[in-house]
Amino acid sequence: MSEDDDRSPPLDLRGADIAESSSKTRNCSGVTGFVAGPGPSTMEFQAPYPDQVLENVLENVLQFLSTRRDRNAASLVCKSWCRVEALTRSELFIGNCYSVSPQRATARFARVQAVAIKGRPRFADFNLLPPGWGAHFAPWVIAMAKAYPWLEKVYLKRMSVSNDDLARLAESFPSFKELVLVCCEGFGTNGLAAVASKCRLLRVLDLIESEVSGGELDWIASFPESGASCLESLIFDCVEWPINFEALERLVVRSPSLKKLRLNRFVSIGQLYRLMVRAPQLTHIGTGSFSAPEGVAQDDPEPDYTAAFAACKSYANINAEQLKSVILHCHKLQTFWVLDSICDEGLQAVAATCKDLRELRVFPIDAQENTEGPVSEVGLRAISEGCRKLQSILYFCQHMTNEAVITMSNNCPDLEVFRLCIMGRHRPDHVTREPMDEGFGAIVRNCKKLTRLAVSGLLTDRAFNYIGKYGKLVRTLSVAFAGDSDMGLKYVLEGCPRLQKLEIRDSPFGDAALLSGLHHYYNMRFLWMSSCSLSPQGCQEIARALPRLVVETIKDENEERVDDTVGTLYMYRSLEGPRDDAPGFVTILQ
Amino acid sequence: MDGTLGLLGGGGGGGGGGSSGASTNESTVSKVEVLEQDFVGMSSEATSYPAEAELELGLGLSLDRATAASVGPVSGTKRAADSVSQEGGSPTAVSQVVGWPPIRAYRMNSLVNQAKSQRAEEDKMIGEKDKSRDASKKKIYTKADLTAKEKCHLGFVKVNMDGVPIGRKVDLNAHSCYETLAQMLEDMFFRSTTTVSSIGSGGEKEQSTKASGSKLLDGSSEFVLTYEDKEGDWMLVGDVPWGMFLTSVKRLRIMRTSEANGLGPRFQERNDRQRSKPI
Repeated sequence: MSEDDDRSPPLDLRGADIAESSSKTRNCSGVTGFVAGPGPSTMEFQAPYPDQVLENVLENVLQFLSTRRDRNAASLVCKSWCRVEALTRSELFIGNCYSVSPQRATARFARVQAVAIKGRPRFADFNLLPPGWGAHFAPWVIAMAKAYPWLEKVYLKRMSVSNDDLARLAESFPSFKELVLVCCEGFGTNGLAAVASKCRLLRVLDLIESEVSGGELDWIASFPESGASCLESLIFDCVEWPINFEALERLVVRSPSLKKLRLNRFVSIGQLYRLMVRAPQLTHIGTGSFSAPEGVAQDDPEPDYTAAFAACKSYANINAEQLKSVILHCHKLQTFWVLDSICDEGLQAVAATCKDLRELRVFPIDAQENTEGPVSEVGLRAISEGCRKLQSILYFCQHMTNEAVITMSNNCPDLEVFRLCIMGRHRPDHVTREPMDEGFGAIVRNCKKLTRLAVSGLLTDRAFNYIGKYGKLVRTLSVAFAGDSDMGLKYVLEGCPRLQKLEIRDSPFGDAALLSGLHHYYNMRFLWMSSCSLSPQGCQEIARALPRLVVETIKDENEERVDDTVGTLYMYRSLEGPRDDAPGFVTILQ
Repeated sequence: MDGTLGLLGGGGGGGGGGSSGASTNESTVSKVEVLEQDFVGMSSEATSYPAEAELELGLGLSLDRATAASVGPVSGTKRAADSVSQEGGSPTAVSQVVGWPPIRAYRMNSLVNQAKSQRAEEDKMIGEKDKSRDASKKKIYTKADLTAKEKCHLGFVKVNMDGVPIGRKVDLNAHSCYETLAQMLEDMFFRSTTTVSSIGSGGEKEQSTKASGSKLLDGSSEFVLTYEDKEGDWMLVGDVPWGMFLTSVKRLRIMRTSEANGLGPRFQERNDRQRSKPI
């Protein structure tokens, strides 16, 4: 699973049977919606064969459907198909843990082996959501312990997971194989120890950017000491506690299938090297304790390791010179996450060598709003000229030019994800002093496969006009400090039929703009608007108009609002109505 | 990375806009130039700790996502245009905005922690040699560092320098002694870093220059490093054991030596003591 974007495991839960009659019918664009009932019922009456045979046939055929989208489509054909599809769906994806209850999900899908659940809204990562908002794993693990004793895989993103939850997971699923926790919190090393010791078939234990508290149990030593382990991937670079290196070494030695290993900063480069020597089958290595990479390249003649290091997602404070000596070996590099300490010069080196690059992320060492920065339009342009196959880019910089962005839009037609963060808010093109409208306009116009977009810099409503006009495939849009008026948001809500996730902060969009999206909100997973110009009345109107939408307004105690505007609006479709675990600072409008 | 305060460039220095002096930009510029000349003789190797430079509020201060009153002690409003720090921001300070730029707290901390890891690794290796003999699986493994709760209270503290309107923040967690902290502050305030070296090599270099001592600590410079403790008193940095310092420090100030005289007889004693102390 990729960390940040939406390429998650296949299936989505949509269109569950609704007991009571729903006034919201299936959306005509055919994508999602609330199924009001079976499709053409004449189909069943005319069938000359007994239902049982039909269902058997269906079951055998539908088993071959793997993607979420296909399965969702199949489930909308008629009741019979819906039922059979539900029986054959083995991977369950819940994009918003509050959109459906664990009971409803487990009741519909009886034979699930892998579950993916996402919780908190993404802007929570940037401290825009007070802690304690929700997204608890507990009700899910309890329900699944009863419904899916054969469960093998769990993927959670932005969920609150406790040690008890992990202990329950470890005890309830004897065939458990894969646990991936991304941006989760609430658990500690004791929970990990439970999983390590009880899940004898564990293949994957990946902790990615999660917050792990301490505990008295040595979780690395909790893996069974005797016999070979099935481990294929062990990622724990986010664990901020020392680990037992000797136990880790023993574990690695008895894990012949181990391919991916990402350690935390409490493992030194020397120790990492020791592990690499003892486990030559490793293909992905990472560490949080990273010293000059050229040291490793010199010691180890294998270019594979060099490439692995360069490709690993750990953050080293390296400069252009240090990078160059490594990167020139990395012709096959496809994914590269790096700090901007490499400067434009470093990016030019990447562009010169990494012709196969698909994903690039450039993070800032110094996340302030300065006037100068080490990377700029120069680096972006170089990348666009060298890495024509680029599909995904996340680029932090201090300033940018429209020209460079337009150049990228022309050079990289395969772009699916374009996230540009000009850290200076409201900053125009620093050469022409114009807004960045044209640059982003070119991206949506020329990159025909674009599904995810994050905008920044000085942007007028015109930029949003472009997005609405050309961004027909855009599913995820992030907006901050942009736009002039309600028209901006209107353009997007009216123009982007595939829009599923919209997160906006500090932009001058008000109630009129919000109301213009009524036709679309049931097709969306969520809408987040913080520090905009919404009133409680406007949000109330939405809540009244769309009963299947949960409309939450969130008040941050640290914030002083001078007027009556809504601090944060977070709304999402749900089959369950208002949740019962909302904390005090959340108001659910109805 | 731009290690200067951005005074000359006129750009905002994000966060920590408190100012201890009321000087204008103009006079500050000339002072900065003077100071740079004073320190020309010092090591020009940039042992930069970019991760400890100011971070955006809400990112740096809330090290613990789950528990923090996440906006931290200097909470900015989310309104972009409003002014700022509780100490009364200077007009040149950029307003502090929560959650901007959008970088996860975890990622920020991973940069910070790279500096810590050099020291922590030494501690850990010592600890492990003792514990590896223990055959039982569920052994007690105490963490050398502080608990997560205590960590919340530490971390970033503001640093202001007399004559400089824009303050910085430093992460005390990344240091284990006064020397490295003072060295870093000197780098931050008295010279600009033009090259960025890896933390690893930077750490080693920093160890070797440790012996030469910090001018901020030994009283030989025009400035002296002071801190405000939890009771609100201003004290000279370096008098108490490091650990005790960590638990009581609220913020730092690089004060003009002439003003530090007001800190009383202790300063005089210390001054005499330090001069005769072998480096």
